[in-house]
Amino acid sequence: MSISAFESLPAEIIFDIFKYLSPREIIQSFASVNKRLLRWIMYEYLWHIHIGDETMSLLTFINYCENILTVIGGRLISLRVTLTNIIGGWAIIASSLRCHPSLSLKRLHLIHIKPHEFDKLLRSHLIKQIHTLIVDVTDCSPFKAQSNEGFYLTKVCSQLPCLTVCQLPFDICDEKPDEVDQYSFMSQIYLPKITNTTHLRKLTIGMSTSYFLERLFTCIPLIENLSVGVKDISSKKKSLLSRKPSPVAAHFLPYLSKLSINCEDNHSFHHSMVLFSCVLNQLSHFSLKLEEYAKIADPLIISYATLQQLCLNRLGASTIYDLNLFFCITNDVEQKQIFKTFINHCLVNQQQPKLIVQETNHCEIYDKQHSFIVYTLPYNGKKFSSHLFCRNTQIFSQTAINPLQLFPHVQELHLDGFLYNNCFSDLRNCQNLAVSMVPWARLRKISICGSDCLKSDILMRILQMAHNVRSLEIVDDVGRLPRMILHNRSNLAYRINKQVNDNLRIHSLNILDYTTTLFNAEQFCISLYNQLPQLKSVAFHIWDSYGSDRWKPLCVADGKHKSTIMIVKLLRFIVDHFYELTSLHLYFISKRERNSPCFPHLIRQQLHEQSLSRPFRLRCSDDAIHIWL
Amino acid sequence: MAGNKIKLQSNDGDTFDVDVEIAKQSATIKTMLEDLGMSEEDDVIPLPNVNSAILKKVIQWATHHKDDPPPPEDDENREKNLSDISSWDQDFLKVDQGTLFELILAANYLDIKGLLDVTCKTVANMIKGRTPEEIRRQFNIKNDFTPQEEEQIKKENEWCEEK
Repeated sequence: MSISAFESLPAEIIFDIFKYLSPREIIQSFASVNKRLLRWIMYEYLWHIHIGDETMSLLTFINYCENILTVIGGRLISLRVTLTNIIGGWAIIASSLRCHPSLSLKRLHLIHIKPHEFDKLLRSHLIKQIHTLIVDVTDCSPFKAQSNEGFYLTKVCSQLPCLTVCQLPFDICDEKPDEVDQYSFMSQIYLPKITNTTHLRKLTIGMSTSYFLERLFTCIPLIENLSVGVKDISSKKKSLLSRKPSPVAAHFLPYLSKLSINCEDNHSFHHSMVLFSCVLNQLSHFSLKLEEYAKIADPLIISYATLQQLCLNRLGASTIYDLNLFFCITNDVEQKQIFKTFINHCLVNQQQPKLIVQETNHCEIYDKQHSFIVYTLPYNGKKFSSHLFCRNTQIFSQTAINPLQLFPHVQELHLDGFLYNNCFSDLRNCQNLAVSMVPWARLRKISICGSDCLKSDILMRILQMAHNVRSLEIVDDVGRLPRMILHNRSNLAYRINKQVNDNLRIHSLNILDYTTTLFNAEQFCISLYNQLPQLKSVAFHIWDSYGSDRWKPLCVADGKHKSTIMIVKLLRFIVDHFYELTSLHLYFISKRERNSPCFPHLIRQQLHEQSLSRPFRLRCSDDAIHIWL
Repeated sequence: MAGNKIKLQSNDGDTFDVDVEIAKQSATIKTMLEDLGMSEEDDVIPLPNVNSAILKKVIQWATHHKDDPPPPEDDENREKNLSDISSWDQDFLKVDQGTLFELILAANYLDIKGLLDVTCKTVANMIKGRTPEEIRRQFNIKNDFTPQEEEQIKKENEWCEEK
């Protein structure tokens, strides 16, 4: 038979092709083609499934789980679930998987799971046998402010005895209450038992103290690939916590070959360099991320010489490394001493990897502060911040520009600091360096913070170039940019509606506009519906006041019911009109505590008495309402 | 050493001089060179599963992609994106179905992940959104279901049509 026949491709190749198609596409296109393909699909193919996306509706999600997981769940090897806008998603999945007497699930990737759902999941027998657990969380997730260090790692390792790959990017919280003494803080550290961690080969955890890491490294003897954040409390009062850690002996981590460190500040950098000093020379890959906010007189300030002495010189000759460093140095605006240490190195050395050093401006940086970034190419971050818009064209023009290769992981364009940065005005020009260095085709999301200098035609140009963008997030304290969209200035709303065509458009809009209050929210929604009726995901914030208008429901007779009626009316309008909507987030922000106009029990009661016009799930608290449709 | 060449021999006897670094994009060849102790200068590496025309195409692809960063390790973490095929690859893969499938088989045998990915993506793009009947026509597949069987399967999978 001729090799050109699709059927003569071996099953493993067909299955490789299937990996690029969704389960629905595979079953829809192949199940009734012929008997051989049907047999492969139903009885041989080991499924790698991704359920949910940011705009998956409630009914589609249930339909997907009931029809796919109940049929092929027994041969499900890898499951990735995006729970960003989903309420109670794991429970739906679990009920579909329970019908299978045995499961083959080995790999579970959870995107934006909530803590209570994660707790339930860890108790489930359905995942006992998995060897890979990947958890991704957003910056505002409760997982990013853990008070008990190592709690989840310990729990996960004890519940999942076969785990070899584990990613739990959970951070300890920023500040401990002052009254908590150092010793009681220590008692809040949990460490997994070594008997539960002997399988671990790859581990990613979020911000942790060096004290915790020092102890953790005695529990993971076979680790090969380690990614950690280091965040030490520098307060002098907490002397025990700010003590230097001891170097971890190389014999504790004999197989470690890839190490990635994210340092919260210069203090944490120095501690982590002590901690890892004995293992740096055994690495094949090393990655360092750092944010330094320091005064020029700070004895712990990090110059290139410091970085070289404590870190780079300790790496092996063949170690491949990448850097992603941000510096904000106070009282160094004129001299630029720290900046010059990096620039001088770049001028002297043309070594690999290529080091890019560039000054940045940012609206949150004060007059006395000098800020710059240092990074290696290819850049390892996911966010292309306006910091990266190159101001020093001479440096960057030495690099052959292929943005897709130089920024291979970038998915989001974050525009910030317009106040001082005029490079955006050049975006109209296709030949502009800033335009040519952005990996436009990779972008899926644009977030904009502040709109001072962002004119409607520039945003229009950005949207045209970033044609794959599906999500737009705007933070604007004066509401200027949202108004430009709602008034369709420069055809902006039209562009958002039709990025490329009807199927490829921005479907997710998140607006934080300080001028939106409960009293003008309905008009905002009407305008939004008039311009962007096809949105699938909408999020906006309602403030308790703007300017002198303040309304406190608790200070008004029957205020609770009045505000509830207004909110429910708003919900009904949105659900009734935005016919493609799958997710609505409404946030309530008060200048003072207990001023929220949202009373969850009354909202639930109203929606119970008269339901919304479409099936929905509701999550409601004092400060937020989330509806999944 | 930079500039070193090796000889690759196709199953129809043609040999190709190829830069070692380019040839090492094939994990199969890399293993032969490194683990099996084959020397770069003298030995000819026979590739019994690849014919001359396909090997030539594979070398062309590997030469163009010689400076690409290594493919990510944990591929499962990445969203499978069908739209990120470079324009060079799109042009390179404008070939007849037979050649495309032979390239897939060669990429699989030679273990060239980048080439296997891009060729599989190309086939996936040919499949996406097609009905079973269109798939049969596209790939010349014979329908061996009875009408009753076919109707039954379609009924079971009706949910696929719902949005």
